[in-house]
Amino acid sequence: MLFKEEDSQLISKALDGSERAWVKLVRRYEKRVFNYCLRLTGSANDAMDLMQEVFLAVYRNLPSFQGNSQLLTWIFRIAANKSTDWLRSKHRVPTHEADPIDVNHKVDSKTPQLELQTEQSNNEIMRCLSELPDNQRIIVELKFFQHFTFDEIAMQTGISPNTVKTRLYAALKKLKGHLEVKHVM
Amino acid sequence: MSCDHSLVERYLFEYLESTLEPSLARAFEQSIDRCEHCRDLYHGAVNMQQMDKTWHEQTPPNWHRTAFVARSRQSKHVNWMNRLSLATSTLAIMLVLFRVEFISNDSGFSVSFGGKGSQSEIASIVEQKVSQLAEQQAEYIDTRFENQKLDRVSENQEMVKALLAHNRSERRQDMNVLMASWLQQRDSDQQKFNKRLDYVVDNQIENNQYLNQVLKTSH
Repeated sequence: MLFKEEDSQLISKALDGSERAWVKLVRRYEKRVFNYCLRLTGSANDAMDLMQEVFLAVYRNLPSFQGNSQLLTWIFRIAANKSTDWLRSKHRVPTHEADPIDVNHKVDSKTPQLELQTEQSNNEIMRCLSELPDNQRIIVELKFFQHFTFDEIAMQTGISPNTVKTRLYAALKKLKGHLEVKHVM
Repeated sequence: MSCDHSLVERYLFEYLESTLEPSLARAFEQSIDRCEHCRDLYHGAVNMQQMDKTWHEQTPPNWHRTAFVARSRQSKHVNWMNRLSLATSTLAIMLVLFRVEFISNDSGFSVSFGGKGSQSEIASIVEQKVSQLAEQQAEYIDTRFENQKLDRVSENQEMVKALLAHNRSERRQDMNVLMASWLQQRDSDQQKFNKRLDYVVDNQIENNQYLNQVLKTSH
């Protein structure tokens, strides 16, 4: 509740033209959005492009944010739309190769060995997700990584909760087979 | 035994979060054991949960978070400039269309509409308009007077008609009264005449009787 109030205060300040409030809002949610985009696109560069598109849309639509839902839910509604458009427009399977985009950019791991393990683990997850069709991948992402409810996902993706469930279960069936192969290897 | 998968599909996430009631949890586990589809869903979900836990959050690289804020502000400025230029253009077109002139003269500064105009021309136009208005007013007054006269004549006619009608009704009443009195007088005269006639006839009869009696006695 406290976060929501702070969000609303930051939103009103950002709408009044405060760049500092806007930056605070972006910093609060950019990590989640970036990781969401990274898992969907499989590329850090594409994830950055997509994340910037998402926050540009958030900034443009901020005056129309009614506060009926949490800001995070609303941001991911935009993110779902943008990622759907992006995947559709690219007509390509995610590269599932996390490109190094910044020499000075450091992941959260501490040691080179841990860093390597992290990269391998993340790459494996992105590879698994890339096996899914676009519409299923977004729903798996929103359900398992963002922990939204079926109703929230339905609102974000513009489809019915039953369709969300159907797509999710189809994705789980598909992923299960893929993971079995992976475990055998 | 066939399975419709509804139990697992309905309570999958409650079971994963360990918030399912024990009886339902037991039924859920039985479904997983018996049905391959339900088992696949469950294992898929477990694996996805595992992926969520093993995913290492990546920090986004530094980026210009206010780039589009500045761009947006610039666009607002451009919009304002566009609006200003549009308003100026519209004003200029209006000035040309209405032939507006700003003339400085001895008495100061004057604005004229409709082309080259001087004070005398404006005064003559005003005079012409005033005379037209006066003519219209005179015509209007004449018309009103004529209408007033016609109204009076018609009122007089109405009044005369009313008087004549009243006079006629009075005469009619007088005649009626006169006729009634005349008829009454005639009746009374007739009655008197009849009485006199009866009296004369009676006398005549008495005279005849007397004469007859005298004659009888004389014989």
